[in-house]
Amino acid sequence: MSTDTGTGTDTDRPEFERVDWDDHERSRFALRGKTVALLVALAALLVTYVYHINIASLPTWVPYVFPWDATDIEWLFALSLVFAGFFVVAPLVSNPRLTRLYWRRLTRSRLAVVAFGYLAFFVFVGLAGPTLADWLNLGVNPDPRAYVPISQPPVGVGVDQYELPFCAGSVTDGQCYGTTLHPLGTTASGDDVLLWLVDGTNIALQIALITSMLLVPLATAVGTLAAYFGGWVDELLMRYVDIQQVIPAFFVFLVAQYFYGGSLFLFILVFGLFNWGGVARLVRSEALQRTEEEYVLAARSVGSGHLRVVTRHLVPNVSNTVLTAVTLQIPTLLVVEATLSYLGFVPGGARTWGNLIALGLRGFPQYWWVVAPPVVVLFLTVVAFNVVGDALRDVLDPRGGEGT
Amino acid sequence: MNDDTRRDERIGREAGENQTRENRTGGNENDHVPLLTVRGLEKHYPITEGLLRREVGRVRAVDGVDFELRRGETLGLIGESGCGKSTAARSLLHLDEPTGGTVAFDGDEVGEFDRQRRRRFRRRAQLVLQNPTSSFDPRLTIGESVAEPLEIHGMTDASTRRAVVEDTLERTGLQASMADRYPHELSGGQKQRAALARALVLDPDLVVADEPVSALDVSVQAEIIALLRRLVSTFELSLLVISHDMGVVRELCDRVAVMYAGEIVERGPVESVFERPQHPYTRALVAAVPTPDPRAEPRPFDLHGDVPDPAEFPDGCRFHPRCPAVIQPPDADLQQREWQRIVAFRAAVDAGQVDPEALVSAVEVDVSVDTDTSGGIDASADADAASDASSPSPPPSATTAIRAAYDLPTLDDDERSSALSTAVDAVSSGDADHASEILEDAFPTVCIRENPSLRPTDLGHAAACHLHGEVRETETEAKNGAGESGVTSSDEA
Amino acid sequence: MSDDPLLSVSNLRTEFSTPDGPLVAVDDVSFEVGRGETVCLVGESGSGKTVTCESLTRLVPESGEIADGSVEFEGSDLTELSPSALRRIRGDRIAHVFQNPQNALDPVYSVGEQVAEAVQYHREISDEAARARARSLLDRVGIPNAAARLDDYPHEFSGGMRQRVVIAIALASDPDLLVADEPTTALDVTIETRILRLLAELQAERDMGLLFVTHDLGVVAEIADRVVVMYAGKVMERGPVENIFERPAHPYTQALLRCLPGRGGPLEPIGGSLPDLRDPPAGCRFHPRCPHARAECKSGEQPPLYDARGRTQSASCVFYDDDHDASVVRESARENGETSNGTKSVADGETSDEASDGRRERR
Repeated sequence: MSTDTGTGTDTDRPEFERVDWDDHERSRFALRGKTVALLVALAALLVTYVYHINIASLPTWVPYVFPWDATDIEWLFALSLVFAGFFVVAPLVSNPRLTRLYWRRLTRSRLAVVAFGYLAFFVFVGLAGPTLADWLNLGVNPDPRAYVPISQPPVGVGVDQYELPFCAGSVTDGQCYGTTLHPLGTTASGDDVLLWLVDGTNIALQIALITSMLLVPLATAVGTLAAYFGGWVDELLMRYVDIQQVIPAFFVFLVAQYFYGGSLFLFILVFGLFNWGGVARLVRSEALQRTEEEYVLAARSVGSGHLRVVTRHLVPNVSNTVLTAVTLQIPTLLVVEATLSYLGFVPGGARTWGNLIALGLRGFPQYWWVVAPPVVVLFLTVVAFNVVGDALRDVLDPRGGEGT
Repeated sequence: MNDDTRRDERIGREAGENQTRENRTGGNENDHVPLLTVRGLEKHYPITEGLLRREVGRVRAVDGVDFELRRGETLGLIGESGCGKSTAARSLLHLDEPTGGTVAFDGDEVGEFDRQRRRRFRRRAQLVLQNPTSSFDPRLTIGESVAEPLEIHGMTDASTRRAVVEDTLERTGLQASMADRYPHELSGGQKQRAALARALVLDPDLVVADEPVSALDVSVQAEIIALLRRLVSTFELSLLVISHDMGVVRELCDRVAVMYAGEIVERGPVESVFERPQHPYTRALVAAVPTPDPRAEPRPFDLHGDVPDPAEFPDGCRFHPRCPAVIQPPDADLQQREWQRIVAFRAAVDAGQVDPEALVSAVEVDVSVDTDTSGGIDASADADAASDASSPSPPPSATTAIRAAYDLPTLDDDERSSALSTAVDAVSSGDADHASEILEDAFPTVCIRENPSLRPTDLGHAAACHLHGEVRETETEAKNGAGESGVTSSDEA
Repeated sequence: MSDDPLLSVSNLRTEFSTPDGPLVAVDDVSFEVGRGETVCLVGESGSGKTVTCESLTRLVPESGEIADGSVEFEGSDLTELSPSALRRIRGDRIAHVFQNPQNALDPVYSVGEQVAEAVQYHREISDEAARARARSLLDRVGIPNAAARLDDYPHEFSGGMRQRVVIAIALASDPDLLVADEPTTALDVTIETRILRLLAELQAERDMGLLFVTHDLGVVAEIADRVVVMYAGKVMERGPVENIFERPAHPYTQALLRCLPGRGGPLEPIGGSLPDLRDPPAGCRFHPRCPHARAECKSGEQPPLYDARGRTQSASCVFYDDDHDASVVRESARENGETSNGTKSVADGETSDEASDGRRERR
């Protein structure tokens, strides 16, 4: 599109006083490349989903190319991955300079680096773990005639062989030692503990990402709109938040599971949709300060509409608050999930850490190796999220000085 | 240094190219219409109470402001903080919708613009803000921030935007590569240059600069002022400078308007207003500016009190409680100092600020202080305020306490003297309204009765003061009074 | 200048540790303040004027450290004192007033309580007496109806009134030295003038030393006896206020004066930008922006303070050592004096002794 109407000068470089604004006045916003890419990705996901659920009624010439029988949670998880890719990963990749700055700020604290490394591992296992385990045949005895390996100890731990129905590993001096087939041992029902941990990590990541996907936009939208518009908008939204805060999501879940039956899907939905009040409040108070900044006025004075001011200036500038708050919210959710699992509100079928703990506690302390690994992993994950959350507060602070 | 010279050449080159600006909106045919005409601009904020947001009062931040800004002209709007000058700037740009009055841009009323014309107005009128640090979104690069206006107004091609931005940055004395920096990587002066670039990039006709240099260091201030001057002349901008700094306004502006308590009290060419201020407030303001000359005589300066609360302005002339030149009743012959104290007392009574109980207890403290000899400071304290109250023995009555607190004189004029006593009695018994009436009858003055409007003075420029206008007969007296109390006009200078 | 100054700062050096290495905020700064004298520290942001003040009583923030130099106050070196001994001096003999009166007062206590607390902190007297003294202090700093306002809270005071309260608190101990760091910068001119008058009066009345930090040369002209001009952590020039304004010796001072609006002549920006203190230029810190800079200005250390006009005015500029022709720099100073002071030509009329020394020297 040609915008330079100036002719006969020594340069063809566009200069502001030669722009013919009457030309531009009629043109509308063009969709930005990123927005288009996001819409394409979402559309692709939608098409796949529709294809998947309607596979039975589709004409026979449509090939069945989608062998993966995904659950509802996994669809949501895929959606949340698309969002995380576009709103977290893409900006970091497309702006390496800023990413380097964040990294430099993060590395100021050794603890934060360690915690960050742990979370990277957590995400990797959560994403690729189950597939990888399948591929490696983790915890599966190649011998189809083998007994179900009940309550086998971990590698390097010996237990009195008469306490076990049989020993899958080697027996030395009457002690049964764990087998490398089940490095962390097995449960009383013969499930491999490591495999369960890996599956549990997958579920924990799903909980973290899906609830964030529900919680972040809700909290951000409510917080920024309340702060920016003030008045009755603020009043209305914040009174709603009050009401929501009065009824904790925990109780909503207890009631809902009574009607719909407890499931992980319900858990994620309830905690994603009814647990954002605190974050919204934080966002609102942060956004209130940002609204006072002169750049908001400057944006309005050049003709930005309210929507543009909110989405382009307010939201990015409260993103550090949102990310921090959410990062600190995730460990709470994991603990709540473990608690509910233990109390038996999440059906035992779900291979969550919580259910593993619940299961293991029945044989505790004799079969301690069932309980110890999930407890340790849960503990480490909670600590890591907290440490990283605290670090993010400083890392993402847009005003936190230190140039390049 | 090299950058500077290059920058100068660049801007110099622009000067010869003004012809290209002919197709600007507006055109030359209506040059006789001022670019901006502000009439009776008002911005009131309601003070609400309770759930139903019942209005219980109004903060009159801007209360009837008139001025015009011609093409290529620079106007300064000065005043102390809280006088409403920034609010005036925002509401005349309709960033805060004004609650009254009209703003005409290029002859058309901004308040009646439809969406598209409002957009065009946003393009042609720009705002530059005080704080270079907070006026840039920290998450955007300078280039993105400067390009934002282009994007909003429909320039869809990113590379064209980039080219325009780079060009504009260079013309405000920055390197094109600054476009990729983040705000925190720039110095205050560089950021303010970028802020000017952001304002210029849409090729505006009007720039409103709210304290454009006050957050900057002295040497940087000088740079930005010089740049602003060059830009104004190169691009024929009309510039409205909001500032509390008279030095800045003097450097930048052709004309100046002085604001006090939401109103303009004096308006005229910069030279005329600063050299021969006609309103007592302007005189005090001018006198308050420190002169960078260590041998200068100490400036006579006697402006007490604070800017009034915009939720409850005093009656009449809003400056009267602080004014050293309040006009006396025609038949009165009071010492100006005594008269001023009575005026101050009247203002306090009218505003309901006199609290007899607090004053009595204050005097009690006074008495106890006199018996306390430990304080090293006491010798010098109490000299002025409590001269009669310091007589120790009788327990202080409310009337003496009030007289002491406001340092009320005993008057020669019997009638007025007894009126004053009655008023003091009324106040001490809690009947402030009655006291107010008595005082109004006994000490009538046009300054409390009427709020003066902006009128031309003998010097040609306008001032809103009763000393200029119909009330000429008492002018001499008041002028004498003004001299006595220390505020001198600098006519002779 | 008195023979036995109240405060004598010599070779003060304050460093901050930053993630990017040490930052020398104040480097080799020396000056004196006598009893009853007002010394102004002038400089732009980053000049180190505030850190200098904070270093006097070791109020520098955590990451900062006084690396070298001494602060002699009535015979004892404050940099050597124990923290408890220093606390007895800080706030008692040396009082501080800071820039922002909004933050200096605690919003949950009434103004009277805060002043009385300051009084009782330094002297054991009854609550009654402390309150009475608080009243008289507030009265003295010009709070109208002081007694009636003792129980008001800080938010009920205007900015100017709050700054008066802060000054009253500083005066509570009858200090010998008042250190005021930009006390009027956040205030309107009308209020500024009143505060400056007040400080001058109080100082005369109590024979206090006043160290006043500001970036505003107008304020300097108004209250200073002597001036210390700082730039990038270094002292550029020291001298009596008249000399600094009429015959500035250092090119930086000259340039700074030309930047001042309202002096009549056209504004002449300095050009260039303030140096980065983490990586200051070698040689004279001002050389990248100095019109007179020569090869020797660009390497080595900041030049020492040479006598520029008699002994009282000295400048850190190589042109004032014996091997250079100081008139190169002085010429521009004279131009400056003429253009900016217009018809006044104070320089050739009644000048101080030092100034006439300088003139003789020049001719």
